[in-house]
Amino acid sequence: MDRNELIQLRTRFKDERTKLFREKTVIQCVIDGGSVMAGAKQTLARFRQLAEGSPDVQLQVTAGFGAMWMEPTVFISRPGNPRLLYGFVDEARAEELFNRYVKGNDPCPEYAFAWLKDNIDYPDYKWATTDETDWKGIPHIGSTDWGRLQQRIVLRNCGDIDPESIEEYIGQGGYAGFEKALFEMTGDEIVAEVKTSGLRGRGGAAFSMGIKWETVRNIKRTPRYAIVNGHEGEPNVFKDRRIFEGDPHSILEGLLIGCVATDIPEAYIYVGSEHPLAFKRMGKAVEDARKMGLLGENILGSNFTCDVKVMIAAGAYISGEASAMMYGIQGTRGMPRVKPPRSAEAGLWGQPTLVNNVESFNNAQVILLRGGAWYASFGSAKSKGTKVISLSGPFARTCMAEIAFGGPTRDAIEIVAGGPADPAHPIRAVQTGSVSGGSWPASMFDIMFDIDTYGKKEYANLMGSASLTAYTDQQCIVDACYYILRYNRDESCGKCIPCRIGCEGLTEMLWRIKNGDGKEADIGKLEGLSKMVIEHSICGLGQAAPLPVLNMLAIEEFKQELYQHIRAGYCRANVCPMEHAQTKVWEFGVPADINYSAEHNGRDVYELASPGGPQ
Amino acid sequence: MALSITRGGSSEGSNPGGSIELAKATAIMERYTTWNANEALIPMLQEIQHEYGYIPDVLTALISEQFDIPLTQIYGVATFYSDFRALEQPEHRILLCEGLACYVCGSQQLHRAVKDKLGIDYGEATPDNKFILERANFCFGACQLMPMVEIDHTFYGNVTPEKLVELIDQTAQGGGHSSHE
Repeated sequence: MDRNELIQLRTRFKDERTKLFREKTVIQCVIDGGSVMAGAKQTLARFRQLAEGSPDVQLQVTAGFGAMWMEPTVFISRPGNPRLLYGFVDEARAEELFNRYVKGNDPCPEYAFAWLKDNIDYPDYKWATTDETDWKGIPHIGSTDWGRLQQRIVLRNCGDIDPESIEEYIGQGGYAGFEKALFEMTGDEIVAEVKTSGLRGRGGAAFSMGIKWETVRNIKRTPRYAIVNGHEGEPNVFKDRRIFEGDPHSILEGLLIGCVATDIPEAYIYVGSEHPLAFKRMGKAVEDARKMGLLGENILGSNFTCDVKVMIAAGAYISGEASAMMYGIQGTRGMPRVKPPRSAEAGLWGQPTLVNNVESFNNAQVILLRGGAWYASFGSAKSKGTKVISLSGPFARTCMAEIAFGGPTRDAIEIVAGGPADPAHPIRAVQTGSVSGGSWPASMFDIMFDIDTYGKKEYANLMGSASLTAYTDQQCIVDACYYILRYNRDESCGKCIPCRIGCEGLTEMLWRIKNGDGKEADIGKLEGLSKMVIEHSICGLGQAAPLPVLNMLAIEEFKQELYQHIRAGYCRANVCPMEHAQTKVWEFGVPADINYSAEHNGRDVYELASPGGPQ
Repeated sequence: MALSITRGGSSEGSNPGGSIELAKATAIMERYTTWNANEALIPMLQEIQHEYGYIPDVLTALISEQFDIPLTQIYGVATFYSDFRALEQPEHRILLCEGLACYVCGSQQLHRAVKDKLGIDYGEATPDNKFILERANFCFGACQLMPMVEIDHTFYGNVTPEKLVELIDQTAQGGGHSSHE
């Protein structure tokens, strides 16, 4: 296939899609890792059964839309009507929707969440536009709370196309960025464009992608490799897997653009084994692209050669670290190594290697097509563009969304996620960066959503992969901190001693505090040990592991809570076991017969104990 | 002893003491002969793990011989990554999601419920070798259904301790479980 054929194909596939939506009723079911668990497959099967024998109904699969709280979600578009989004579509509702909307013409506004167009049809990929109004009482997605802040650059095709169909991807303008990179730009121009965009790595370390590409480009040693790091091992981060499941071709395209820019003929896509569906869909995408002639030798007649292999990981959180990941590909234990040399100089098999996160690569196509300056016009001063966030915990809307940098964090918490699930338990803190960051208390929710603001040293926090987990008064900050350290202890690869032993020490100390055995001296020890681990660990994961402890000590609200645990043996959320708290109360001269445990009466004990306790 | 078993179908069935069937493993290894041996190791072990439920010693020896990879390296990989099991596994696996959201929203109670019901902690098997309890140190990616439990590759969301005990009873009686993607 050469370039002209690809352009013709693009027009043809686009026309086919337009024709399909013009002539038939299209039912798109969101089938991805999260919705399948909520029963989306049964919904799809029910629709299949119902649509049997009606030639004007077409069923499609789509994925990664992100409206997880109302899964299974379904889009129905009838000719002449806008595309409608329905939530909570179980089998019974599927039948009702089919009978009332597909057969009849009642759009069931009580079940509809919103109406929307294809994401790429919105200017700047923003749903919130002023000229869209309600349709038959159903709001436009840009006027719903969930949708109005979103700008879906990375997720541009998620929820619109069938992830397993290369035709649909090409029809939506797919591989146009790759084509432009091949025929209209030199490697230096591509790198310059990416540098202008100001895009910073989305995996956690936030290193400038343009500079990384430039470094690899300037090292001429061969062979050289490129790797997509899709090993997303942290709990409560599900962005990469949704992108794999929802839009695998755009990852491949971003990777290919990177390969053109840095002249790399061999690339890998490393997918975590926790995401079998992501692995399957990515594998299919690569195969389809190879069949189409978008991979292999002399691609589109440009003399550029590149082949891609999809590799599966084998668990282990540490494999998300770039050097550990490369050892995993090499078939050895995935343990990070001391840097420098960086992976750009000595990566896979000791050769120059370009490693970027899934989300980073996913931006490349848009940056090339729209220009780096366009991309840099979104976001804050130093964090450009948008970020996919994973919202979990007791939020009203557990979801994946994409918002621009630079707004207050409160926007994500109160608008996108809709505040607490139960208004009786307001959100008092959010954990950021999953297991490699600290939390923000409610008093700091207005902090700017920006990599550098989050990463300020005094807060001991990190944006990381931008997951936000809510804590209400039913969650205890010491307990969550203990969990994170316990997690890091379990997942420490054990190569360097500070992390291996430091995390164990911190875990034990926090457990003691949770159990009512905390001592005043523990606070100093926690701080000292945490700083030691951060200073001496060799990889980013070890360096981030004790952050929640330091964060707890740095932020006044959390520190008070820790003091309550240590001095009064009192856990406000009533989560910590506090088995030895009675002794504690006695130690501080509080009568032991006060009922401090079962109900939240412990507050009294705290008030009695703390003034007299040692400071 | 394990090392003495050689490749090929002839040893199949004649192995003493209910040992493993080699044909499937050789078929898996056949597919990776064109690969770079080191690169092939983890995908190959994944397939073996999937097929047998653990990585039998015999096969690590076989792979080592056929692909010229040091046995120590294979053993190192098989014990490092959390997907691989070195020993034959109990019949049913209860996997509690311990992502942060699940943990702070109820998986501790589930853990307690399993402890009370079966008397096992994380990583332990019941004496009759029927159940093993494991903690998922990763996310199932369906945080709207927290807390989540996976029993024999079937996922259950919004699980309460009572429901979990019920599920364990059902599983013990061989209640209907469908395989899951």
